[in-house]
Amino acid sequence: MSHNSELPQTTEMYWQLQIALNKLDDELHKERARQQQLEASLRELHTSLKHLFSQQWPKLEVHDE
Amino acid sequence: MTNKSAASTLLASDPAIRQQSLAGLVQQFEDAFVQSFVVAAVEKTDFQPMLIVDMRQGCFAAAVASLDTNQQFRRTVRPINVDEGDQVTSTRPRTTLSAYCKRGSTVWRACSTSRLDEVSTQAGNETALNIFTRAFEHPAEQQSDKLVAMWFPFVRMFKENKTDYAAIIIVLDEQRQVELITPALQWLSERLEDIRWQSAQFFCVDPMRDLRGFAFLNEPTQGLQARYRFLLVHDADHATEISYAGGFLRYDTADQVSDPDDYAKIGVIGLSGSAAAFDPRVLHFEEMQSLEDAAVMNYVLRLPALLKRIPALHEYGFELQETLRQTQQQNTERTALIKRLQRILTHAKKLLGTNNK
Repeated sequence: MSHNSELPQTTEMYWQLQIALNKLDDELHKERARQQQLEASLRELHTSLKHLFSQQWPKLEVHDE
Repeated sequence: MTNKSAASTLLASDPAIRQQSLAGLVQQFEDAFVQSFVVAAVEKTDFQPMLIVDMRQGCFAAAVASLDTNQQFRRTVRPINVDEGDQVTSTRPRTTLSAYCKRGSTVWRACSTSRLDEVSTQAGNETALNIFTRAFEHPAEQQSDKLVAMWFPFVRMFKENKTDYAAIIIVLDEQRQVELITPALQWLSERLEDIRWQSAQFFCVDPMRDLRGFAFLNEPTQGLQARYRFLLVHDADHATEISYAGGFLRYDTADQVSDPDDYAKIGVIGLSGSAAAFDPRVLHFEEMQSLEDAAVMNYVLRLPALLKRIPALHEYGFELQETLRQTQQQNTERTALIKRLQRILTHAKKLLGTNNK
């Protein structure tokens, strides 16, 4: 077979691109997991603050936003 | 491998893995077809028969995919004996099959739906118009056992053939059927001692999709009309061209590689990196041996189509980067907000501490 270097080079480029995409995808996955943890912490803090204020000032209306 | 290990294979395969494998059943068959080329090209014949059981839309049909002595890929329909009346049986390759049994009996008989109409009017008969529909009518804890009992007449077909299948592939309409059939098959595998298979997989496939694909050239005329070219690249200097035309396969050392688009498929061996995790259809083969050892599924890289995707993949990469940047920014903002709220909470507790212990 005559040498055709273009095909392996192109496929190599394809693999490298896929590997880069895999890494990006992994990173995004981790960042989204962290986002969920942060949201849970925020909800917890919000509940604590709401509880604290409602105990101190029972007539105070605390609006969730 | 025995059926007990097959049962564990069944149980181990979770829906996500099955879904990932389900890039297309037809593609799998295509790969098996191409594998037959490759196997012949390297003078090895290790393609084991594969049994495909199609249970879509209330039908029960079975076929065996195998290589004949001439390395031709074959799809052989497995006939099923059905009950067509007292002492009368007939053989059906594929029809809408059902089952019935005498009330109080545990022996179910396979029959055609026309026969079912007749037996359903006779007192003392229990019928299953559609085996899955009937199984779902029972309480969840009984569903599996009911399915086993009603399905058994069809599964007897497995016992009639002593072939060791490399894989049994069961094609269904819905995911819930997969969930129902898994424990039922485990139950069966313990009772069908003389049946052997290495793995069993379930596929939910659109009923309109023709499972034969082009690899299942059941009709000679289909084979004559089909023309395909494949390329297996061993390294930068060696390749095998495999062509299929006029019902015959040819294996040639490729002395001139034309445009990749000319080939229906291209297999490449020995490239660094792996895309398998990202694209379930793609496997990377370190060397020829790993290619030979690979399962039927994902055997051949569909590179012509994939190469065309490079610009789109670049685009997708940019999108991923942007989404990642935005998520990181949101997380930074949320972290700062959490710190502020924690400070406020600490101060507030100090101020109101005596009232909020």
